[in-house]
Amino acid sequence: MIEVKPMEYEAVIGLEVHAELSTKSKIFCSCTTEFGGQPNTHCCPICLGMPGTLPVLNKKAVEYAIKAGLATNCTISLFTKQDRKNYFYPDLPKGYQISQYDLPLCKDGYVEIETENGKKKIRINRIHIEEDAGKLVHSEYGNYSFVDYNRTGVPLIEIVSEPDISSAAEAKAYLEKLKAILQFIGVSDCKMEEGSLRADVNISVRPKGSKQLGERTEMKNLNSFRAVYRAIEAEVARQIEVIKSGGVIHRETRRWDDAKGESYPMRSKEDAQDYRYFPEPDLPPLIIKKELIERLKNELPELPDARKQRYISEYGLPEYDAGVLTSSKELSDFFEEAAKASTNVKAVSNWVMGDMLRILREKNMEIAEIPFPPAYPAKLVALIDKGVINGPTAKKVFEEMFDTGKDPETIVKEQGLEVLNDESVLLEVVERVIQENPNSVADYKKGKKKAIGFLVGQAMKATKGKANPQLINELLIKKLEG
Amino acid sequence: MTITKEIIEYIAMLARLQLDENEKNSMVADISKIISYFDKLKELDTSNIDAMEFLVMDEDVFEGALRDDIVGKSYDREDLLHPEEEEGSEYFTVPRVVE
Amino acid sequence: MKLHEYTISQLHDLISKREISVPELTRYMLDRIESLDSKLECYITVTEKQAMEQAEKVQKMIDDGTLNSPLAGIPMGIKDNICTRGIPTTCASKMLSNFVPPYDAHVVKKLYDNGAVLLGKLNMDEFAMGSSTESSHFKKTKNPWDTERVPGGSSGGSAAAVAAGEAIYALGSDTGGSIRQPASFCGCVGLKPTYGLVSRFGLVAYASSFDQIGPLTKTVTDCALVLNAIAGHDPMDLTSSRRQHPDYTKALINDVKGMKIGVPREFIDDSVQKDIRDAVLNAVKVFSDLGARCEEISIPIMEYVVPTYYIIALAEASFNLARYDGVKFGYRAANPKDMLDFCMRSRSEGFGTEVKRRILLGTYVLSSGYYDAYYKKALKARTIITREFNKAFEEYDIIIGPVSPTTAYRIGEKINDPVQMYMEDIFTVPVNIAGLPAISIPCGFDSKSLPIGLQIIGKRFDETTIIRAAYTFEQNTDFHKARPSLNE
Repeated sequence: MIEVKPMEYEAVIGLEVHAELSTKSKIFCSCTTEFGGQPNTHCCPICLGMPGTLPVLNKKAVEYAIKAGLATNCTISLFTKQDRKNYFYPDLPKGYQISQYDLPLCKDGYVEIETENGKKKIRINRIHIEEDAGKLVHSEYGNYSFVDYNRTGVPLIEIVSEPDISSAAEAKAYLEKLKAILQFIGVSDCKMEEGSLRADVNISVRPKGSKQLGERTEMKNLNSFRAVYRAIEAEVARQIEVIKSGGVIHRETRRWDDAKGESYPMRSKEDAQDYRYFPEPDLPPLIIKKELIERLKNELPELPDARKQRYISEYGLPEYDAGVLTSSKELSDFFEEAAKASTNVKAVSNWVMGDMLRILREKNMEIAEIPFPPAYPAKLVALIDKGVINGPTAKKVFEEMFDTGKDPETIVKEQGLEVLNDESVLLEVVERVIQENPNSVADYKKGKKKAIGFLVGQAMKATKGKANPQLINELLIKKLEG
Repeated sequence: MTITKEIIEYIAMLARLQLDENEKNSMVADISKIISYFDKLKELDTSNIDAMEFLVMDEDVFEGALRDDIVGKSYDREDLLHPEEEEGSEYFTVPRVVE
Repeated sequence: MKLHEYTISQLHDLISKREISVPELTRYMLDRIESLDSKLECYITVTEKQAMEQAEKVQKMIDDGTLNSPLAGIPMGIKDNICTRGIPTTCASKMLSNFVPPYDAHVVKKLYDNGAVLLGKLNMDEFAMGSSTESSHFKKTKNPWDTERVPGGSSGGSAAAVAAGEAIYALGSDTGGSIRQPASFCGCVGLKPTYGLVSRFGLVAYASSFDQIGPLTKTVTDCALVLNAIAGHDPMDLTSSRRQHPDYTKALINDVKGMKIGVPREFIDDSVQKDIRDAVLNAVKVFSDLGARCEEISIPIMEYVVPTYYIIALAEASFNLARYDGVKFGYRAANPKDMLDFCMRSRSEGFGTEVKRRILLGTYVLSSGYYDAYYKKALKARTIITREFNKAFEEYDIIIGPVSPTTAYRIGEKINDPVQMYMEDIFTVPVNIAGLPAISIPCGFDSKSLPIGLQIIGKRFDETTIIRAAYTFEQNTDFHKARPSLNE
């Protein structure tokens, strides 16, 4: 018998990311793209595909898509057209989606991500524009579903990567990078919870080192980074398991059940899918002028990678910190403002990355909901640096700022939180603490120097944390030794 | 290319049309005839011919014709809903869709 | 002469001189429809109440001096695939029998702005798919010249109504001849404008890259008047041209001296009914006698125009008709088992046979495996055909020929032979393939006294020249003066 060495496998992953563009009006009509609204109230005959209506392309949607292409190092097509893609589904009013087939607006780009093994380029095959579909609501009772077309016709870009991604972590890093870029350039708000960023994931596995691709499966409409991560982990494991036990992978579309943490194949009864793409006759092909591309290029703001480099070189931040602070536009803009108001940027970045992100998480808040301006954390750092308040007090003040939105100076003044530096006052406190804790005093005198810590703590408590701990320490030692 | 009943059934499924046996048979006959008439086009030499020429307008579509991103008024829902929807309905009602 | 026999310009005179009021004229036309339409079945919907209200309103505006259009107060009809707000727009299909659009087509708005009075919506082939108006779900319109015969199609209701005086003029739509062929069958004037001259917004799409709306009228002058009102850029249709259009009444000049006219030999070969060929050759003689230079030319690509046309048209149609699934508008099947059943039965019960046949064909030519051989090939053929016509127009101002190889045939005669019916579109479809303008005007009668139409094809956006040629022909012949007797 020949001994078979356990085979090692690697995953080959490609992502199709749909991002809703943040235009004010829909891609082919002037209905609002605002999220929410009563069902079917952001609609008109055009987005409902009523007989005789025609699509009129939103110029801004094209410009946004070109910007997305420029920000991801794509080539912008000078000649592009839109195509009709047929499939029947009740949330798709015309029975076809207007998308782009063989002449996408942008192609051959890449983004760079950080991996365990350093930087990696994930190539982008294409970015094209298309229209979003509506939403189905299923009734609790009865045999009905209900269609809401408010989202129908919201402009989307689909960003198709090459299968350059090899793990769930890389997929997550890639998505985070795309999200940051799209937010930075202001073309999408990328709110996953509102469905404005969604990903379809193509996954296959193959023996490590093999050049041949395995058969792939597709998972559609994953709407959180966590879901993408978990779905990939589970699917890669499943495929390896199937192959190891002698099975074969079938090309299929699977649905990820995030609650159960597993996927299952979708019904394929009507899967005789043939999109029959053909040029959309209602929308003449577009000639994109070089001047337009130039103008849009000039309008691009500093991108996350550039900003990260600047944080490292200008503020001396560690690479990791700079990465976190540029991972979202809102966070980065907030930090940027705070940094501008401070002379101790490193300390500001620690507050923003540490306590601020923690509090936001705990309170389930968005950066936009922070009730105080970015200059306040800088003021807080200044108060510490000037010795007006101590570290623990600062933490309390910061919490208070989230509750009341008040200026840290005001909070400190109103609540009298300034560090107690008055020796005569502190001396009284120290004497009282020594009186009230004979045991600890005895311990200290027996040589247990650590007991001082307890006594300092008691003194701090007695001053509601306001005392200058350094001073207390000194006074205690002086008293006990003296 | 012979048009068989299977092809008609497949195409009908793609087009979401349901045909009874009579319809299928007459479609096989008619469509066979028409397609073989279409086959005449195969004689025509179309090498090096652009397929998109007709659709390209001789006017600047991007600057001249595309819409500015301005929100207009949407329609009243009752003017849009299917006439068979019940009064007061907020949605378009369809048989339950199993995903 | 009776009121319904008047032209737009004559009635405009009467209204201006206060010899008749708009409500009187409208009432007269409604009464005529009432008495005649049970026999001819031109209308799907007659909008009596709205028409009278509109007539009153228009009369007031004329009296105030706030409305001064040659179309003001003239009663007309509109093909039922052109959307009219608050008025059913059925496309002569069971599918849309319950459809009342909440918007007006661009052309409808323009006509209303000109003070037009809408009498009702006119019958047609279902979804404009046909050339005899026999595929209408509701009724079969009769040819006023012989009620045993078809009026042509798909704008058969429009042509028959104008010929019979059930409307002073009408709008039709032309995808492969659907204005010109019924105009020729019914002895009226029908114009298919250049693709892009008239907005398609509100025209229920059949084949989007071919469809154009155009007028059906009694005379070339009326044609120019209506075209003036409906032509022009519409920001709601990206395929509508932004160039300024001329005043077409300025082209009403009785003179073709020096005009260069091409007569393709492929248009007058043996496939054409003999009396039609004779009538066309007579027209050539009329033009020559008036000083035009007529030459025989050849357009060898003609043998490929019909397959090219049908492949592209049906491919587009198969998509344009995908929206009819019962969900948002249109016919809904009763008691569906599930979503698939709902969609399939709504479509299958809502569409008629010809529509289903065309959807299947369009689906077939786009399906993977056949796409390149049919659809892509046809797109390339379209390029060649367009170039050949444009080349002919480098030497000739207009091209003339017949509209149809036959005159009006008997109801039921050809309905079971789709290939034959498709092939008879040969002279009209190249015009749509190349996006050209063309007009059909009366040029004779066959042995059964049925009207024959002459087709005049022009360069893109050169409606002026075809209107001038048509007007000159009309001024020098009497064919347009004949009216069907209708045993009145």
